[in-house]
Amino acid sequence: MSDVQRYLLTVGPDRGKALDIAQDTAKRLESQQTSLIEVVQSLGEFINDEDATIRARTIDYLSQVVGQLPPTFLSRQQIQVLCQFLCDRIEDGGAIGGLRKLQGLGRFNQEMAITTFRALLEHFQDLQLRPQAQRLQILELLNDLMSKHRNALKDLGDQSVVGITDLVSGEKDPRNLMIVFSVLKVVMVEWEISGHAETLFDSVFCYFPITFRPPPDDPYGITAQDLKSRLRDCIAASSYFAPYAFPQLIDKLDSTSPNVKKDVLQTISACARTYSISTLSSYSVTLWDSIKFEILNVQEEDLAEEALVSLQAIAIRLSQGTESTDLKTPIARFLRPITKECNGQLREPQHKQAKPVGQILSALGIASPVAFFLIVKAVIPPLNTLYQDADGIGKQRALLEVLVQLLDSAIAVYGTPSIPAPTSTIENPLVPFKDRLFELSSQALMSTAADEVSFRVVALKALLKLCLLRKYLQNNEIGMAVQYFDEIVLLEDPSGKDDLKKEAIQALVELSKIKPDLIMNITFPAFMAKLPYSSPANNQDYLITLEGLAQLSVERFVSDTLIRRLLNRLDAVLQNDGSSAYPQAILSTLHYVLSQRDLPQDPNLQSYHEKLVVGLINRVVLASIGQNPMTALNEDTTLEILGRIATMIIRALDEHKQKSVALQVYSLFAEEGTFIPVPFRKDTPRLQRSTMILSTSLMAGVGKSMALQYTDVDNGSIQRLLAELVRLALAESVPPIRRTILRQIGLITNKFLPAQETKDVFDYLRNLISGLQETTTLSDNAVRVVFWEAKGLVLRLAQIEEVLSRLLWLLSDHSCGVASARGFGLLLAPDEIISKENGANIRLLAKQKVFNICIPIIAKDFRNAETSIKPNYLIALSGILKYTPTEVIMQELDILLPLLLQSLDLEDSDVKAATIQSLSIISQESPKAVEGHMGSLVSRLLKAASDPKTNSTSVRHNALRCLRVFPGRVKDSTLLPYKNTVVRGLLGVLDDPKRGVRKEAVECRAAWINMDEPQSE
Amino acid sequence: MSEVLNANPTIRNASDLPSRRRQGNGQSSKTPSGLFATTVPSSAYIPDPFLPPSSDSDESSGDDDSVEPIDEQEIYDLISPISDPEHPLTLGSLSVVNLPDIHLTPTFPEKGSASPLTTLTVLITPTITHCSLATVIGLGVRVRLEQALPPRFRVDVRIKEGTHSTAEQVNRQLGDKERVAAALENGTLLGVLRKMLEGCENLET
Amino acid sequence: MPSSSSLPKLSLLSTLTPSSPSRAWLTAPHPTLPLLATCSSDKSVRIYSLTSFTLLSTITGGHKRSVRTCAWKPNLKGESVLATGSFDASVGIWRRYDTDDLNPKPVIAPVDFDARDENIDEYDEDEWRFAIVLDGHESEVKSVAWSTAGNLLATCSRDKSVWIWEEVGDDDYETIAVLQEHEGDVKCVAWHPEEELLASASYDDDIRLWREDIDDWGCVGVLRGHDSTVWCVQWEALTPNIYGEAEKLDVKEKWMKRREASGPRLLSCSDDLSIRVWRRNPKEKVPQSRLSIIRSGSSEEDWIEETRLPVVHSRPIYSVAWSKSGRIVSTGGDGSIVVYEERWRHSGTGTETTMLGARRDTIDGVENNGEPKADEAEPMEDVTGVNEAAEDANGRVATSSESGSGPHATNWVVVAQIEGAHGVFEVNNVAWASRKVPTGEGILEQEDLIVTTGDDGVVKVWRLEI
Repeated sequence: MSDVQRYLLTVGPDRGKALDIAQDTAKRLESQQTSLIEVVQSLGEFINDEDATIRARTIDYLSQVVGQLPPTFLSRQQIQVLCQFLCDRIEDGGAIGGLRKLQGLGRFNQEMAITTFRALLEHFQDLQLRPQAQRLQILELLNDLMSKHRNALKDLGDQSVVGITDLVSGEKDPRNLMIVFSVLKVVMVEWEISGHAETLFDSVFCYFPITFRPPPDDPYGITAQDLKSRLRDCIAASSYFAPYAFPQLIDKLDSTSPNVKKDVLQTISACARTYSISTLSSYSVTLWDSIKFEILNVQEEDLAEEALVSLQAIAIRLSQGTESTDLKTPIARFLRPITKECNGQLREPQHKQAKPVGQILSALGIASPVAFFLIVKAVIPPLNTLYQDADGIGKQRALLEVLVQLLDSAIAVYGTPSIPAPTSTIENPLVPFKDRLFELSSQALMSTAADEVSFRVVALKALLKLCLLRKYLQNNEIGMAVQYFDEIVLLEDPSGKDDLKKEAIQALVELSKIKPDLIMNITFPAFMAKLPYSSPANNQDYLITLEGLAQLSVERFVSDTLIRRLLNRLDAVLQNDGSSAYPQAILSTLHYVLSQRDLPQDPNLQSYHEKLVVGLINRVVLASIGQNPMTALNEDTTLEILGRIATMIIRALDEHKQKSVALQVYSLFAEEGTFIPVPFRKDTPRLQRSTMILSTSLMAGVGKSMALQYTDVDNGSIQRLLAELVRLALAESVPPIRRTILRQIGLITNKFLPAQETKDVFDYLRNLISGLQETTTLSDNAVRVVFWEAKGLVLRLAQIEEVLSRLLWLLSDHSCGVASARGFGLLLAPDEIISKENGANIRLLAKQKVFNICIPIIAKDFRNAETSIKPNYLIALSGILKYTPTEVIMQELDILLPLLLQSLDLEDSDVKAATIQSLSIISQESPKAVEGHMGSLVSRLLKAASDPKTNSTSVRHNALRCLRVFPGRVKDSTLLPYKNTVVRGLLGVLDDPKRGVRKEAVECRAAWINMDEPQSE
Repeated sequence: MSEVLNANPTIRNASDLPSRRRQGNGQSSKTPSGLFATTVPSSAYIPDPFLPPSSDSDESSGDDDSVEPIDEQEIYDLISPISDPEHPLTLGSLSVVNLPDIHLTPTFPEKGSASPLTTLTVLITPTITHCSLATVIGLGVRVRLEQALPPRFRVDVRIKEGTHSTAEQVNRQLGDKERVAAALENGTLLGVLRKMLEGCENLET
Repeated sequence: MPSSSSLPKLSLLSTLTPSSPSRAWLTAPHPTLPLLATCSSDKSVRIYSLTSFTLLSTITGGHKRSVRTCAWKPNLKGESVLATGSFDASVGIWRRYDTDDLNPKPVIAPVDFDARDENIDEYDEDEWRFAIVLDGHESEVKSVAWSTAGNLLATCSRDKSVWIWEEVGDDDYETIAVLQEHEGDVKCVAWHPEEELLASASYDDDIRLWREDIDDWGCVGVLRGHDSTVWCVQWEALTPNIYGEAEKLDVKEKWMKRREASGPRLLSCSDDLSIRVWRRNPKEKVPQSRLSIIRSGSSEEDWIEETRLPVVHSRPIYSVAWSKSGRIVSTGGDGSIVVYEERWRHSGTGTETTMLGARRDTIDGVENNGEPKADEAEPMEDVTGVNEAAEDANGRVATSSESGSGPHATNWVVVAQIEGAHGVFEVNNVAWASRKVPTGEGILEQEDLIVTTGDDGVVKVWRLEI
């Protein structure tokens, strides 16, 4: 039985097997065991069988064989023969496939390509009557010929143009169209088509606009966008299309569908980019006349955007290659009517249609130096006159805004001192107007009534842009601007003009980047001069100044100077003793500025350490022991801020330096004998105890590997220090000092305690706890110690189960249950000392673990607890949830929801607030979960939102927020039964004493009102 | 409404519209804009959880017992973001509603605080004197206010004198409780109104 | 009859529960049974017991929009029939056999807000049968009224028309008239207590009177005077009731005679804050030739504004009601309930005014609001004067002399007032209701209850203690 027979028998049931057969044939051909002739002859009767499928499969067999052959195996003649052979039978299935394979072979030449092409045209007049799959094959073949043998077809000229267009006309299938478009595009771009422009154009434009929605499960993943852009390329392919394209596109611009409009505009832009300048030029004005409406009567913002892009594209194309400002050029002819229209609109600058004028002008101005030149020449003089004659500041402001937008394009075209733009032979047309513009905007800014904020803001923008424009203003002029900005920031009464001050600061920041010298020489002295040398009695204007300075010091060079000067000023201020608010503000400023620096890399780091850390801390210590007392340095707040600065700087120090700091965390760099550290010492006076705040921040800054003072071998272990600190904490009654000692306990337990010692610390903790439960006279401080200690362990996941279970016991304790319940809020609360930056041991899993361990126990114990202590569990719960990531909470909703609903009934407003917080998160994340509880949720939230007597503002506020989450998320059918209840229930809340709450109520109510009754028409 | 009645109205710039912050007395600005808040992280001062809860933690509300009465500005903030049925613009920016045309007066002046009833009068200024949409706009304003104000308010929405050719009829309609109620049950009209009111949600003050 | 010195007191008797979740428009007391029907914007009608003051049943599912109005069909035994008018432009007729026990079904008092919604549907709707829907109006139906005999039903709508339907068979109604002379919404219709004469009040500021003239219904009178929408019209009872003692008997005589001739008076309240009483000018009984009947306009009636009640309300007056015992109660947007009495006028006015003055002081608001305009209420010279002039113009002199004494004879005074009757909410409707009160000589029917319906959806029952 011959291969072909075997093939025919197998191909039906098992194509794979059949292909192997073909492969065998190919192999034997290669190994000369058989010859092509024999193979072709073997096809014998089958190839003329009256059954089409047999014929098809036969041809298919041949094609497969050929396909398996190496590209250079067949000779030219053989290919010639096969090609002819297949072309004759081209209508039989398989032939196309064969030809595709053939034309891929090296020796397939021009004539064969033409033969094939002709065969296609001749046999497939009726292409569109054929099934999609076959059409696709044929188109692919055509595509192959186009790419591999383009010149052959090209030489056919008109014949191929007409042939191809006819062949593909009427195609509907998206996959086929993708090919059709790309084939046609080649013809349009590379053929000489002047004679057939209209035919070709129509053959593609008939598909415009494309409204194709791919089926949900489209395996070919062809999107409407793919088709659109291919079609667009065709339309934009040749200038010859212009006479047909533009009129029809403009026509379609009247469509009511935004999508169509958008497509049209993008197509226009595409044409503008590719059509020849001369062609485009003859339509440019017509295009403007129709496109402008999209911009002047904005209906859809993004359409206006597209329209601007189109105009800009036209302008860019038209000004390509020309630097001539002659008024005959295409670009000039395009811009003339536009500037005319714009000037007209600007006569009523406050009208709706005048708004976009600025956008139009700047969009076109950016297009090219020429465009910008022409626009400025045409627009600035009238703009100037209009501005002078404008009655009322509103008009002036509108005009000024247009100017600002023009300056934007000026900067785009001519760049800024820091960012130069491509050079152009055309000089900046704004130069002649320099003095006028500078004067105009300066006056607008400085000589207008102070309360005309928005107007002055625009003026300020204008002035700033003038300063930023490359090679424009003189240094001294910019200097004047800087002075104006300084004045606004420093001298003007701030009331109600925050915007202006903000803008002014921003402007100075901008300028500090390009003209640091001006800022240094003008702004700094001005600002520093405003800073008093001693604390002013009762005004805080220095805050504004300091804030200004802080924001200005983005540039390194600038901030170096600032830090230096502030330090000096601080010295002086501390000398002339006075209120501490001012020095504290200066310290805060320093902290801010330093926080903006990359300290580890900072060459001045060392001196910061000397001056700010060692120096200042020393003075604090001296002050604390009564030598040169300075009230400012005796205040805990001052120490807090100083501490923060210290931590920040120490973190940046190298290991060696940190070591020495670590050994002085308590002696605080004091000289021997001058100052006795607080730990291991009895009844230390308050001022000295305060220095513990600094100790805490020092140890926060040093690495965890460092040995702290008092923890080296001879002086005793960390545990001994901890025990001592506990002693101090239990005895401490001054809140800030107590807090800092507690922090130390937490920090040391978490960061410095070696892993192997955590067990001992836990035992110690357990004793503390049991001690707590025995003593009837409970000490709040003890509870505090317990929880800070616990915080330290929990965060590093040490003995976490045991710790937590012990803590949970406390909840049922009558004396210290409430305090403990609150303690749970502390465990996971973020802390600035026990933080990642400070190298604390904070394990990612901590929050989840705490949650997973506590929730089940709380839920269980809550059920069995006697009513008087039930609240404790709910309070603890809210403390935990407050810091638990949403996704974790979501896992336990069934347990949580009932508890949360009950905690809404508690008095405690913090708990309520926290609970509502969690509830709104839950409702947002998984509305399904709350559906079952809607009734009780709605009534409780309404209750929490009402009655300002019992519910704090934030509770009321959050309750409304939460209530508002439901509509839209929870399905209407669940909510509608409560619609009336809510809408009515909120009536009273609309009269809440707090504006913020009322606002929330209004929106919440609106959300519910807008839920549609099912039956409503 | 394909036929735009006033294609080119005057527009007020958003930043020029009256707002609470811009009403002088820059309470916010004397104290710095909280730039240094970063230097004093709130977490540094977590209220000692062991102490009984602070009456109110969030700063926005200030002291809880201070009352902020509903004033003209608040009314303005309620209605100025309503969008015009034929422009993508707000009634505020089109100067259809203006702060000076909003008046709050006790319904029974002689009774003073004895009676909580307050009469609110809002005069609206249509963009053009023959704007046939005046009724719809007025209705939008009235509906917004009825939904947003407590029931002790008596809302009168009227066309400002001499700004509209058929002001009389419009006022009568807007004043007719029964008609307004019925209008709100009319699906199509309700659709238009909702579209107008969309802009009112999620406003920042 | 109370002596002029004792003034009635108005006190809250009960608040019906549960109330409508949203605005309620109107409450109609049943003509014979202790039942109240309340129309609500929640598209339903609630039937309350006037003895237990609780909800008996709820009629739902008939209307697609607010139910604005309803009226009980009079003169029925064993069955109650209720007509409802809705913003959905349709009129519904509902039937229910009177059961002996009018006690409420046990109502689970709504503990939780959300409980309420379910409870509503809990009452068996089946007891109320939807008989038929009357379609015809193009827009919201605003008022419905049964003629005294009960055979005719008048309805009116925003479509400016008044329709009259006749019941030609069981649940079979025929439109016998569509009256379209009004130029604005028709807000209210009311039938004359004995004649087949219909009064309608409209957005066009007019009141119109309609009657059948040779089997064709037409407008027989236009009562002009109100400066804004007339919200409500009501008829006086057949027999008038004037309080206090008349000074001169002849005046009283004259007055009664004239009242007899002109029949029940018409009461109207309006957006213009005025409440007015209208009186028919009786034609002299000239025996008319048969021909003259055909003379068109023969049925034209001549009505004049007899007087205005003291101005107390400061917001639109939505509803007035005239009790069989001659008292008038009014309410409206200001949330006040005001009760007025008509008294024989005393020329001396000494005792009276002092007494009234004293009374006024205790009624807040009347002082400033009432005082100045109150004058309008007193001397009718100007008003009648005007009318006389008009009459002269019509070339009729006969009435003038007699009518002159008429208005002088009586005047209206405020006798009781409640402010904020429904808290801060507006009150949409007020009605008189009577109840059986056990006394020494057995059960006696006395009409001393006032029922008010408000935007809060609440219905309140007040007692007027005399």
